[in-house]
Amino acid sequence: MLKKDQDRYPQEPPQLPQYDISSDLKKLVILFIGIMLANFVIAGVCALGMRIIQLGVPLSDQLHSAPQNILFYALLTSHGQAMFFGVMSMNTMWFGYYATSKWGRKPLSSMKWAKISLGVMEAGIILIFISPVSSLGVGWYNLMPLIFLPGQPSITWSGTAAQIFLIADVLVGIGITIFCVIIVTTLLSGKIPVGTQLFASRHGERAAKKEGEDYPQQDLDHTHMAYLPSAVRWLALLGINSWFTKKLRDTTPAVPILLVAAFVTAMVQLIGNPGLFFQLTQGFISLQQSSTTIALDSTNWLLTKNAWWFFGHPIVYFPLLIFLGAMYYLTPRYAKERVQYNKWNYRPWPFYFMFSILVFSHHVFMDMPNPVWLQIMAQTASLGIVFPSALTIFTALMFIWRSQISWNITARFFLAGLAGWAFGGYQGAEMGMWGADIYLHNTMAMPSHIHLMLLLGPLLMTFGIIYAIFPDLTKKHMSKTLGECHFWLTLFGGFGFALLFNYIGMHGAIRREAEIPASFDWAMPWLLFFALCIGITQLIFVYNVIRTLRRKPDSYELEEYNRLHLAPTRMDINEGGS
Amino acid sequence: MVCPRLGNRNSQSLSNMINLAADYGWGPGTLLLLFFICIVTTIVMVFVIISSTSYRFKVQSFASKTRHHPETYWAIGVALLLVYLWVVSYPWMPPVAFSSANKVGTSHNPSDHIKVVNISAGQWFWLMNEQNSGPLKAGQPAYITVKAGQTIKFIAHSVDVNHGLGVFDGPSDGSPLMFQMQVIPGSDNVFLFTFKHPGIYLVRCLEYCGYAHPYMTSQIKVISSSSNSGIST
Repeated sequence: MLKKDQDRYPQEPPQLPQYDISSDLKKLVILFIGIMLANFVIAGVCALGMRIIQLGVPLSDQLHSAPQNILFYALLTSHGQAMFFGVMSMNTMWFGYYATSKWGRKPLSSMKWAKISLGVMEAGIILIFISPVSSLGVGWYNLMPLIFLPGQPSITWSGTAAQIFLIADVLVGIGITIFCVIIVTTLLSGKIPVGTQLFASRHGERAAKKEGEDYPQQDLDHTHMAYLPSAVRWLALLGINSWFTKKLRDTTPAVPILLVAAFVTAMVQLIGNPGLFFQLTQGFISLQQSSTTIALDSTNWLLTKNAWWFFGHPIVYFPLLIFLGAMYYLTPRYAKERVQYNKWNYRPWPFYFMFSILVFSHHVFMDMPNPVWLQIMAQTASLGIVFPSALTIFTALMFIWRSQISWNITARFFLAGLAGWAFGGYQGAEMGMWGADIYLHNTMAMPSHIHLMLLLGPLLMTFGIIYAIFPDLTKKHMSKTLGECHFWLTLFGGFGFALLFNYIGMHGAIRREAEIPASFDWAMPWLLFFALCIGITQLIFVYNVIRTLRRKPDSYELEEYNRLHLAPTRMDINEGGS
Repeated sequence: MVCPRLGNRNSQSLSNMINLAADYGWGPGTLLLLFFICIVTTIVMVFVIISSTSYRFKVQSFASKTRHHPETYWAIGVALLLVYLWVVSYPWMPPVAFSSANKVGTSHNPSDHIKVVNISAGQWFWLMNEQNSGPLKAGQPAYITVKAGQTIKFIAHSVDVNHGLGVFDGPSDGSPLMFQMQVIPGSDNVFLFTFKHPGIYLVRCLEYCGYAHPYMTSQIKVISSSSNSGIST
């Protein structure tokens, strides 16, 4: 029994809010996680295939003899889109649903549509996996008009494959839009938990404090459920009121930080999604054109490209922001702190909201025909997004500093995710400045940035979250030993992979090349090695999840679940059910 | 301000990053600052982790830790740093850096000191100054010849999909990237550059444009400014 106790996570109770989400939502979240992991494995196999091709190892005579390595670009397209949409975006969706219900202490506005969003998303992902079977290789960001101008007739993909791919992206766009609408409507309607010490005191909590012996004042946050006036609700959910003067801050309510994160995530993507639909509309129109010349002349491809990035950069922040919100909650929890109202937790969020939308412009500032204001905004927004990011990192370190934090696997995954995101963000700011970007854009430094930002940022945080909330979802803990393997191998493989990408990128290696120049041949075996480390350890994680799901909870796990869910202590009323 | 400072330099021994920052116009102080951001971030993270596990430090509540609002000073410091970087970067934002290029306009008439090179890109070839030699392969003879020290105004457009014009500081793969520009269908993109040293410079496509993207290469030959050779191909 002792051995078994030691071989499970978390080391500390998860200390999540006491509101118990519906069993329907729990099942949906578990289904989301399962499908996400399946997508992750398939997309990971695509990545391994790319590395093998670049290494020059013949998978078969036919493949190796293909001068253009068509398979490489098909795998590249599947890998990129499946990772962005089928893994990272899905992570945000399931955690967004979970967090909105859990911290919002109410059911989602529509469980039916939440289920539909999963179905629509996964249908899109399946089509993304299918379309490259017919050799379609347009890359994850699918710059028009490549999809219907594949090149010489002898090496091309079919119009049907292109249509399937575009339909896949339409489905993905619809799935993400449904998610955003559900989050926004859930948070904008009905009651919502509100707090701040002074606000709470008006509702009788001050009297409660006087009666209690060990109930510090900072625990009075987010205690009440209230119908907030519309204007106040928007100010609170975007974190704008954190910039008010002290007097106004004391009189305007704050909402749980995770709700702010969910709301900002949904709003940013809701604003960005029209860019995707605009680009896809141009694609469908062009596919209908009988003459290539007509299609080329009748469309503004610069505007189409800009529209894509108007969607394409928010989709990079879509997987990130909500997990930063989780960091604000979980890190102090594991540092044995109350999650008190602190204006600095909220102050980055209006900037995240603004700059996550505007920063897309740095993708297009190498296109000189763009308007001057857009190009100047590009560099300004690239630097601007650093401001909230720096605040978040500092606050996270403040939580940890001198805290004797419990370095369980969730806390470690979050710290590693923070480091990956910080270094990826530094690269982003660097490449967001034109003078540096002319040396680094579309080199392997770019995939390095993306892998640091996503694989080693929010994905690590996602793993941490899964370990933390699994007991809440299933009443069972995951294996500690397997979790340790997962953590260290992911870190080793991930950072090795991303930093090597960066090194060869800074030396001029171009991204998206099936045949890497000979001068970079030395790096290919190492890239395959690091990719294998990441791949193997994810299989271990999948095994850990399946093993935990299949077994029954033991008495210890049931006891702990009941203690946390059925008998909330006074300490936990802060996030408890009302 | 045209940006002749965006010229190549023969400093292969230095890291590409230092080159780019120096070319970017940043002084040693800024370079040092950027270098220290990474170093300091790493050291601070390590220190914070150690402090969180060491019993030498007294445990404090977060409330007492933030009594003096260190975030305020941090926010002000970060904001000032970003404003500084914005001001330093301003002259190098494309519209500002290429203001002289804009004055030259789209007439394609070279001024006294600017040589205009028209580029058409397609799957999978480069055409420079209207010359067409069909699809190109690496290792072909120099495709266009210009003089060292002369500012070149590249005006590029694509006849089909998006491409990227990347010029490398040497004739072979593995040479550092010197500059790049997007080449888009339906619009002329402009870039000004001054080759300071004679030599062969590799041209490659940097924007994925289909299966044969890695093989879309060409070359630029730069001759000495004192040479009598004119522009030839």
